[in-house]
Amino acid sequence: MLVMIAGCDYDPSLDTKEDLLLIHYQPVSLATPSLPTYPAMEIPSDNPLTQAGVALGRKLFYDPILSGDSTQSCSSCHHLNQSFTDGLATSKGIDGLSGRRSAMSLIDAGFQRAGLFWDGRVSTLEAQALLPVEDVLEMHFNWPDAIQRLQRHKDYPTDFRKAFGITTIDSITKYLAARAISQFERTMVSSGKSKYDLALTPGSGVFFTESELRGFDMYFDKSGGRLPDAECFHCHNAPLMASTDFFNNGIQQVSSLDDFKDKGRGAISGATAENGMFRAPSLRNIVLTAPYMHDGRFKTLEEVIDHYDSGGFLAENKNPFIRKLKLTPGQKQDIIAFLHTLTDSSFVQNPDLRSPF
Amino acid sequence: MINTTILKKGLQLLGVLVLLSMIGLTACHKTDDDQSGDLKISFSPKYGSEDFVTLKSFPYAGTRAIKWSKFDFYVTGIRLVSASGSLDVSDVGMIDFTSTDVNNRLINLRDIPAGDYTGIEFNVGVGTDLNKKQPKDYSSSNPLSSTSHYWEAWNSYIFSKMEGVFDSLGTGTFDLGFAIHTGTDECLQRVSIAKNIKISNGASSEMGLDLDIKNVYAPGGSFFDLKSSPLNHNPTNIEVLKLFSSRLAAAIQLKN
Repeated sequence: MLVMIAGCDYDPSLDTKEDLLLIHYQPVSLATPSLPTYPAMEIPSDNPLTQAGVALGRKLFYDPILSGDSTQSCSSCHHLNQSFTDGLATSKGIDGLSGRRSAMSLIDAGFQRAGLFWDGRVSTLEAQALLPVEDVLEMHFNWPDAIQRLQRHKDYPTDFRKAFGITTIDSITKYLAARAISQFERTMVSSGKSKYDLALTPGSGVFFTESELRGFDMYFDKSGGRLPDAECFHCHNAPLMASTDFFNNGIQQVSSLDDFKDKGRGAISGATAENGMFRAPSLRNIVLTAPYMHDGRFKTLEEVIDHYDSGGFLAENKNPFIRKLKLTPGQKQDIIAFLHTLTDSSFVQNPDLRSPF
Repeated sequence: MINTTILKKGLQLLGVLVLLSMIGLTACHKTDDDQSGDLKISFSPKYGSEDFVTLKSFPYAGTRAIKWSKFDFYVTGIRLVSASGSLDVSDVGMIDFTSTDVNNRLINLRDIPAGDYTGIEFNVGVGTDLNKKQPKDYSSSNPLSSTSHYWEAWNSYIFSKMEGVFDSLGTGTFDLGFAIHTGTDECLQRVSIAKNIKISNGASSEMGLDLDIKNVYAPGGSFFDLKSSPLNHNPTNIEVLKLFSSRLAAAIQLKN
């Protein structure tokens, strides 16, 4: 069956030396995505955004062609309507095996200035895009065969020519595929139209409710002592509602720093002091991205807030702001009400981010 | 006809001479004015006589103990002082004693005009003009782009972060997290270090500074009461933040 499906799109007899010079190559640059309150997105000089590059990246993101059995694409674990997460505690690959960690939201991925993944093991989107294809717990394929599929596909050689100006089919590489996917990912930018953004925009006519405002004050510790400091912003700071740092947020009970089952950042840096530390992801669209934490242990925002209110498990590298907060039930609801204002409906309904198929 | 040829050759010769003289002048100019070298300023953390290590246990107030998981601060407004005046450099540094990258304990000033300098001055914290900006105003390679070091609520950079755990009962269990974050213009501190520094053309000079963290938390043996006041991280505790800012600056000394 797979062979038959593949037969529709692939031509095994194709000469990969065939030149593509007859196909018109005239890249059209795209403006760098930006928002007034955001830092400038930095685009690698060797991978500027172009219309054809983003279009190719979008196809590759949604096409299962890069997985071993042609059943999974990037979008299998990153659904637009869930802000590019998948609703699972830990994502499943093509073999039905669960990975160690939860799929991260890709909203504003192009603005991420620290390492990518929960443990920050790569520093660029281009490097990130290379890894899932060969991960046995994800797409479980290999790049040489994946590239062969792309080279022998009826459309992709033309798409790569238009995106990158390659002159022969065998010039298609995994690096160009990763560049294209990265270009598409850089377009996954907040709309700036969440209630939070609008409520902070003078003249928008949008205002927080009293409950949301109390939650806002506790999140950012802006009440001047009138309300408890919920300490949220230390790790999820505006405007991205994320951080460039890594944290142990006290969700794992260990007797020593060597005992973390998933060492997170420490496994990458080799520093015991960083065991059990993970990135603080963006809270934009947090309502849409359950379950929560790197291992998806909390199903609801209520569970998340209860955890932070408890102060978490003691560890020498636990962030000091993870402490007993003593929030009332009403205050917890206020914080959750505020978190709802971070929902960006325009983002998840953006037609440019949908599957092109 | 002959005259025209001679004239043409004469003009060509004149052109060559002018070109040669320009090259000669340019070379002389470069030799005289463009001599420069680098200056590497390194910060070495200590706790009394011990080397500082992240999450290493240090004695604190008698039988208690303390470990730091984070210790970083901004260095801005660097000025090299010489007999003939001073030189302001725009470099900004984030010194991070808890980073696994030792380069985060250095500031490397490049292309400093060659000469003899008598000292260096710098801010511990973000200078007043720079503190009017925000992380979004900088590219990611600039330390001031860190949103983790910016207080939205108080329109200020966080000048320094000192965090860790404390054995508050002296039982061997590190039961209490603590954090001191300084910031706002009131916390800005200026450090002056007198030292003869020679910058030679094409060479890299070095200047080592020690920072004794014990002098930040327990100057003169008087330990800050972390148990009573473990979290000081916003300007509502400004007196504590100012106290730690001044102690932090004073704890920086020329390396022995």
